[in-house]
Amino acid sequence: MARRMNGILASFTWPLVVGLLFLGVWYAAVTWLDIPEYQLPLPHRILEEGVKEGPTLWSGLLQTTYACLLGFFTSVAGGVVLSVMLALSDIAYRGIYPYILMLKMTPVIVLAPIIIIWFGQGIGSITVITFLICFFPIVANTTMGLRSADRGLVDLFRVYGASRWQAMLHLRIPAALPYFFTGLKIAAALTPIGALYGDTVAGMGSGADAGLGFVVVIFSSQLKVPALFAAAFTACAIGFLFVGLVNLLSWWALHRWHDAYQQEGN
Amino acid sequence: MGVNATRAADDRRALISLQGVSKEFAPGQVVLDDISAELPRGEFLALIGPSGCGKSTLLKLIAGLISPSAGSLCVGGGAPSASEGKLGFVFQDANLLPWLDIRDNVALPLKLAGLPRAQRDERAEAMLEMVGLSHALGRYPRELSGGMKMRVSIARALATQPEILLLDEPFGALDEMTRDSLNEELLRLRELQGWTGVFVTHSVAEAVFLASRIMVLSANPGRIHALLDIDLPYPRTAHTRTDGDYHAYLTEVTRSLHSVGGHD
Repeated sequence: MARRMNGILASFTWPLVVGLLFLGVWYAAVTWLDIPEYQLPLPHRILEEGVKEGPTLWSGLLQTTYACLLGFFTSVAGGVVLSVMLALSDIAYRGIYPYILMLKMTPVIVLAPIIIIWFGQGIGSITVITFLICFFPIVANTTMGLRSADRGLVDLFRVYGASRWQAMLHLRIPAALPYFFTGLKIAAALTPIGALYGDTVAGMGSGADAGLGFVVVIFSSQLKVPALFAAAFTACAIGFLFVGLVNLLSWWALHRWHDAYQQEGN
Repeated sequence: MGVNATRAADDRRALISLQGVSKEFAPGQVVLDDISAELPRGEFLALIGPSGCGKSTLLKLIAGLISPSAGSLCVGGGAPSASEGKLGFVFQDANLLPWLDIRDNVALPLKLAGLPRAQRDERAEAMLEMVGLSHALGRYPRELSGGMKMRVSIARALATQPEILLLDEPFGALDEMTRDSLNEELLRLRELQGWTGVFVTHSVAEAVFLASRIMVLSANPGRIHALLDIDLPYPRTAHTRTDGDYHAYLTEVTRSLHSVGGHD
C-alpha cells in the first residue's frame, strides 16, 4: 500500500518539477527580455483575466462541449454502422471505401463554406464539421478490425454453422473492439479541433450561444491576449475530458481479456 | 425388419466415406489425389505423412470447410457442409476466443446452435468437469497454460455431443509430458462418449497410441501410401507405451513413413 502511494507520488513529482521550472523560465524571460503583455502575458495575469472572463469562458466551454458531443456521437454511430456494412459485404467495401478515402483527402477547411451554405451558421454546421473530422479514423480502424478476425476463429464459426450475423455479433465485433478503441482515441483527440474550428467559421451569437472558438475570435479582435491564453487552457480541458473518457471506456471493455492491459493485474 | 436390425445395418455402414476425393488449390497444384476410404462407426483414424501431404486439407474437407475438386464425401449420411451438430473440431493452438471466459468458450457451439443460456451453462460446466477444469470456469484464456487451453478446446469440441471428432494436430505445440497425459485423457473421453475420430499428427508415437487405424500419406500430390490397422486393445493406458506390440507398431509406421520421405 505504502509502495503504491509512493508510486502515485512519484508519477506526479516529475511533471510538477518540470512545470515549475517552465514557469520560472517564463517569468525570467518576460522580465529580463522585457516582453510586452500583448506578446506574452505573465502566468498570474492569464489567471486573473481568466477569472474575470470566467462566465464567458464557462459558457463557451459548455457550448463547445455540447458541439463536441454531438459531432463525436454522430460520427461514432455513423462510423460503426458504415463499418459493419463494409465488413458484411465485399462489394460494398470495394465500391464505397474509395469514396470515404476521397472525402478524407478533401480538407475540411475547403468544405466548410459549402457546409455553412447547406446547414447555416451555428451548431448544425459545427456538428457536421466535427463529424467529418472524427468520422474517418473510426471507420478506417473499425473496418480494419472487423475484416481481420483470426482465420482459425473464422473456421471455428463455420464448423459450427454460424450465420453471417452470428459471426458478426460473436466474432467480428468483439475482435474489432481493440481497433475500434484505437480509432475512438484518435477521434476523441480530434473532436475539440473540429468543434473549435467549426466555431471560428460557423460560430455566432453572444453570451451563452458562443462556443469557445467564437470566444477566441472575439478576444483576438479585442487584443485581450491574457484572456486568449486562458481560453487555450480551457480548450485543453475539453481534450483531456474526451480522451480521458475514451481511455476509461476502453479499459472497461478490454481489461479482462486484452494483452494491452495484462500488466495491470487481474 | 425391426428397429434393431435397422440400427445394426446403420452401424455397419460407414460413418465417413470418401470416394475418389481430390483437391487442387490452383490448376496443376494437386494437394490430394484420389483418396478413398471408409470409416465405420467407432474408428479412430490417424492421418500422418510428410509436410505438404494434405492431411490438414483432408480434415477440412471432412469438416466441410472446403469442398473437393473431384470425388465425393459422405459424413454421417449427408454432405459435410450439413454435418454441424454431428461434428466437433479441435484446432491447432486451441483457438479460443480471448474475450470469453472458459465457460462461455466451451458453450460457444451451443450458443451458435441456439440453446438457451441455462442449458448451455449446465452442459459447459459438465464438459469442463470432465476435462478436470471445474476450478477455472470464470478464467480467461490468457491466464491458462498451453495444456489447459487444449483441454478447454477439447471440452468445447465435445460440448455438442458429436458423433464425429476431428482433431488437427491438437497437441503439436505442447511439451511431451503434457502431450502424453492429454492423449490418455482423450482416450478416456472416447471410452465415455464413443465418438468416431479422425486426427492429424506429426508424431508416430501419438498416432500409434491413439489410433485404431493409421493412414500414411505421401506428398506432392497427397496419396494414400498405406492403411495400417493398430490392433492394440482399448482401453490403452500409460502402460501401453511399454508394451512390445506398441513398439512393433512404432517401427512399422516409422518404416512406412521413411518410404514416403516423411521422417529422416
